[in-house]
Amino acid sequence: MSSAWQYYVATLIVYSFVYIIAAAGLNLQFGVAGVYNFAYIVFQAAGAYFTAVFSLGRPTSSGLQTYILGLHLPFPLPLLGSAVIAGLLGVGIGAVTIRRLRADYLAIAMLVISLIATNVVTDTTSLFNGATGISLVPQPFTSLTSSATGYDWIYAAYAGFVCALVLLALRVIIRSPLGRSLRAVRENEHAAAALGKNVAGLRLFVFGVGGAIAGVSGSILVSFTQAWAPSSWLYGETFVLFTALIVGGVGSNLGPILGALLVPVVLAEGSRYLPQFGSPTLVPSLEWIAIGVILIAFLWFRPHGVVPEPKRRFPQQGQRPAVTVPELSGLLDGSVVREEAR
Amino acid sequence: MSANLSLVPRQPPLLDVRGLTCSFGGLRAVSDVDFSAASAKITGLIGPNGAGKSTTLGIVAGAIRATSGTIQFAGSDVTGLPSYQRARLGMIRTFQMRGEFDRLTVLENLLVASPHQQGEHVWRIFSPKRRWRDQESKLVEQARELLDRFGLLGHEDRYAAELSGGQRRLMELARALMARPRLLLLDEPMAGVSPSMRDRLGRYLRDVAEGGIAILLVEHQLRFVEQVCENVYVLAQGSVIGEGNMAALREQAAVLDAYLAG
Repeated sequence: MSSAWQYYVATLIVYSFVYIIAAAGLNLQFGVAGVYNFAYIVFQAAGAYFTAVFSLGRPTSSGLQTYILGLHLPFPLPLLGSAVIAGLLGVGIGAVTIRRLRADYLAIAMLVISLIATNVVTDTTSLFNGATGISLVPQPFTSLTSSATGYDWIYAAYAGFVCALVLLALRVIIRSPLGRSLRAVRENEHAAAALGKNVAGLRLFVFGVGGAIAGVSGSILVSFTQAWAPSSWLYGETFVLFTALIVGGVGSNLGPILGALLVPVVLAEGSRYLPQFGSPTLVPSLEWIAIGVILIAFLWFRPHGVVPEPKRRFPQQGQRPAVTVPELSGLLDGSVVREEAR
Repeated sequence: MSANLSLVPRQPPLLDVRGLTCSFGGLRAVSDVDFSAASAKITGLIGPNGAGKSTTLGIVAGAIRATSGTIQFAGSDVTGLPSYQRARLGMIRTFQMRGEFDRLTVLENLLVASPHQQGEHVWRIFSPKRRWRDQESKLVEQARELLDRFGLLGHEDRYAAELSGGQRRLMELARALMARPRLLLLDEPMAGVSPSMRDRLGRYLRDVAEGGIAILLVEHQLRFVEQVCENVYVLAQGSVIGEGNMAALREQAAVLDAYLAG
């Protein structure tokens, strides 16, 4: 494989992991707990921004770009720090919005927060360098290899490792009684409260954890692309992730993985191979239309996605617990998918 | 209204509501209502449509905020507590309609209700000891016993959304018991239940009360109320206009008027 191809494939793999992590965090919020966080992309952007300012060092006196903090922390502190900050941002925004708003109004409030965030960042040059954004973010693993393609593969492995950790942690949460209570809140918040569940507290928890996971995905992305600008984190990106989740399957563990690979990666990358036709902006615009059409089609014809939330069955005494995916069984030549829960 | 002295128990009742009032703008839905519910007894709240029964139950459960009045439960004032904290004290309500978790199985619906689950704490589920799993298997057994008692054992793996109306009522009652209640607040438990199921549900409720749990229920079907309730309060236009057993209440002119006028 030529180095250009290697670069392309490694980049695609890093982006895939970033999208999978982001979709999995959104799945905890929307798929499991039923929280409509239409500002999800803001938390990814926050994670990316803080990773940048945690690793860039002091702003140069030439005034080329301005930002806050300007620390030069060693790996993996920028990643962990931005996850914590994005999580705290989630708890902060959640504390203001969750308690007083019903789910649908919360969705509107979050959408507005996303729009406000874009404007604030674009107009605040002293903090975020305005619309230009921040570039020259240092790469964390340059000391490990001198070859550029080698570096990309190391980075892809790192992204995959973090992705696996995030998915494992989410799997533990989703399958625990805590995950069950989150699903109960999703299904019927009044009944959940009537059984002693602290609905606002549970929602705040997914705002925090989901925010931190979004921050992790943004952190991995910005250390790879080395650039950050508000125009990459517009509210529309949140809907790409929602579409990915609804296509893949809401509430399941596999859904966000499949959805992230199908929608942002295959669909967006696939359009690159289309022959040029019409005006140069036509194909990107058609991409957005395609995402909207796919979202509506899935909501209409297959609202539970390609991999629906698995039905949890409990073993009779002496048996081991099992999780089955009944609606998939037909696809897999009639055999029931059986995963050991332990 | 003045309480009939012979009905006042020596111990304070488990639930004691005094001067409960609830206004929505200019409308007084509940007006200076007093009532109580005792352990091991079934207490009914009846009245014509719009009398404020469900609102009263909602206020007691903490879903609706009272304008004034006090709610004492097991000797402590719960008037200002949110509904989930009342539930944690043992005040468990059911709903007039749509009280299930549709995309949770019947067994999961029951498991959710169990209080003090170790697996609900994030630091416990990531601890290598996994002690919550032992508790979980005990809870599964408990839930299966309850499902067996309510004739739902064969349905444990079905989604709650797939159950019939009567089965949902039974499941909701089983789920409420799983929450270890001291007081059950039942909002029209007979709505949408077939006549054959009605007798069964009535027997279950009597069983539950005999086990020491207080039950306060709002119900339209007076024959059922007569069968199961020891003490009944009649509400009309937001006020209590009668109290006693059904047979005595049928004789009271004010009660008859309220029903005929309503």
